[in-house]
Amino acid sequence: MSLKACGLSHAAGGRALLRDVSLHVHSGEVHAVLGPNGAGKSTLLRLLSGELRAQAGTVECAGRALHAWSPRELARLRAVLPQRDQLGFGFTAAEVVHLGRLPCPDLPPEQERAIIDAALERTGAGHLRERRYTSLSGGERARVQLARVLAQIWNPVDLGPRTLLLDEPTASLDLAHQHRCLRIAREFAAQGVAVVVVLHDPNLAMSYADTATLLCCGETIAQGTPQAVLSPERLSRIYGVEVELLRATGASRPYIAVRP
Amino acid sequence: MPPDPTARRHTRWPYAALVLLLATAIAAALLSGPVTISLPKLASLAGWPADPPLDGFERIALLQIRLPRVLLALLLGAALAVAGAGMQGIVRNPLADPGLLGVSAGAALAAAAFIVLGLGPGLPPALTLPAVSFAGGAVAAWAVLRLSLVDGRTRVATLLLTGLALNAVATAGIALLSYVADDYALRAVTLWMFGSLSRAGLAELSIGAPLLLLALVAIALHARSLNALLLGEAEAQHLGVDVESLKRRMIALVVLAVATSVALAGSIAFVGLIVPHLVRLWTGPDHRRLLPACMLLGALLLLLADTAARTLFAPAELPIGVLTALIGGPLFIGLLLRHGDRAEMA
Repeated sequence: MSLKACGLSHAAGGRALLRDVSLHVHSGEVHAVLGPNGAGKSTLLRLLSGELRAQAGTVECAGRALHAWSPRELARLRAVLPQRDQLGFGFTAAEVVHLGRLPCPDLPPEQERAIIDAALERTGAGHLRERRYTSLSGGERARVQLARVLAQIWNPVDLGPRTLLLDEPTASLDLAHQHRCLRIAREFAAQGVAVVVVLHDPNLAMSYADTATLLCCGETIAQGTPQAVLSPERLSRIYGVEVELLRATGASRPYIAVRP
Repeated sequence: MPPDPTARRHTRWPYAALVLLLATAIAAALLSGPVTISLPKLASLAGWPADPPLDGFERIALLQIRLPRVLLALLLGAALAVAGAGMQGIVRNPLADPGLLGVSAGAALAAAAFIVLGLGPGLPPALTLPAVSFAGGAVAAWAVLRLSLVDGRTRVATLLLTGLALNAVATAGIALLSYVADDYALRAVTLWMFGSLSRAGLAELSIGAPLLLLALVAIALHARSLNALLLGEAEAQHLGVDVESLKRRMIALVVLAVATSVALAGSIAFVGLIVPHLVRLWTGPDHRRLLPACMLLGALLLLLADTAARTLFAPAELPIGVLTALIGGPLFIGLLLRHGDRAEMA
């Protein structure tokens, strides 16, 4: 078990943001978290990452409680991509990715360089290498930040299986890059990484996730395979829109469509 | 494809130019003053043959008066610039100034109270005044930090606002004290408010140098963590940086640097704000290049300002803070106008 959360509850300002949410993600799995705005997806991710300390419940990473890890060791086996980017200083894209290598033991410069270049290429940001981060568009920044967290856990470590937490990584990406991002998540999972990804698009979850959690109002509505969790009836009820399944000839799975 | 205009060119010649300028400025500062000393005589200290040789009076002027002052100016300039860069890194805002911690205001208020009210009679003012001022700065910074502690974490926005409020209170206190002060005390308070290295001697250097060097080196050792912090506090945490402990240590070091500098030379405006800005235009935001370059440029600028302050209207001496503010203010506005479209100004 790479990432295990049990009975997570969290309240802020007298309002319950999350109630009794549990989550198990095995190494090699991509787990999608979905839910309407304000459902508690980001709170869940912040609890899983240890940015917030849960008021009830436990989080274990690679078999050890989060707070039992030293910050440095935890950073070597787990990378987190937050939703909001706050970098307002003019690093180049390559320098930003290099910041992701901070917890890693020093490698020879040419190897570091190779990892930085490979991470940027992987997210389709290779051509941005020497560009100033602050001059990039929202989608370009998102790809550079993704490259940064990939570079952080680029190679396997002896501490345990690696974990990748992504909070709405596709939010500012165009169609092609949304799919590229989730393809990368799958490729990292294939290397034994446990991936948790917050998504809004149920079709992306259906195409790329092994398991999914649907949250609403801070509670788990359903958990299991994306096909089972994201049923049209449930989506209609939770989101308050009319949802139907379209089945194209030759397609391996149905497509979730919202009636305008 | 045309070369990308935003690509950073890592140039080394500015370092060499800065070191060369620094050496020239040090020589010029040592030579100029009421007793003019020629370059060969200065060189004779290093074993160069000079004719006529340095006489006893010149030797005293050079080694016991000018040299300590030059060294202190270099250290203060470097420390203020690095403290400014460190402070801007901690709050992730290139417009932050170490003065925002309330250190300068608290130190100046304590010094003004000491001068005007004549507290601690019978104590030698030469050393008591810096000690009182240091304590005032440290207490003010402690108060600001305590007040900005929310749920055990230092909240940066609260920190800045509390510092602002404390600055206003301290300024009001100094104004009240000036109101009841006699002419002599008023002059002393003014000199303190705008800073001056006129009291800098061997005693001040021997106390101040270790403290300033400690702050300088310790801040520079945190360069990589500071880089990570620019990504955001949560991001730095996820990169294995103990953010709370980093913030506490950095703030303590900034307070040490600024309180020491105010205690020795009064408050010197703008060095902590403007030097990191100028340097970022050339090195970029990476603290591993930024901090050493800040040391060089801060030392150079403060030495030039001090030399100008004591020679321009000799034998009268200008407060050095007046000079740094006169030069720094317009320079800062110029930078804002030129680079204001880029939020990060670097």
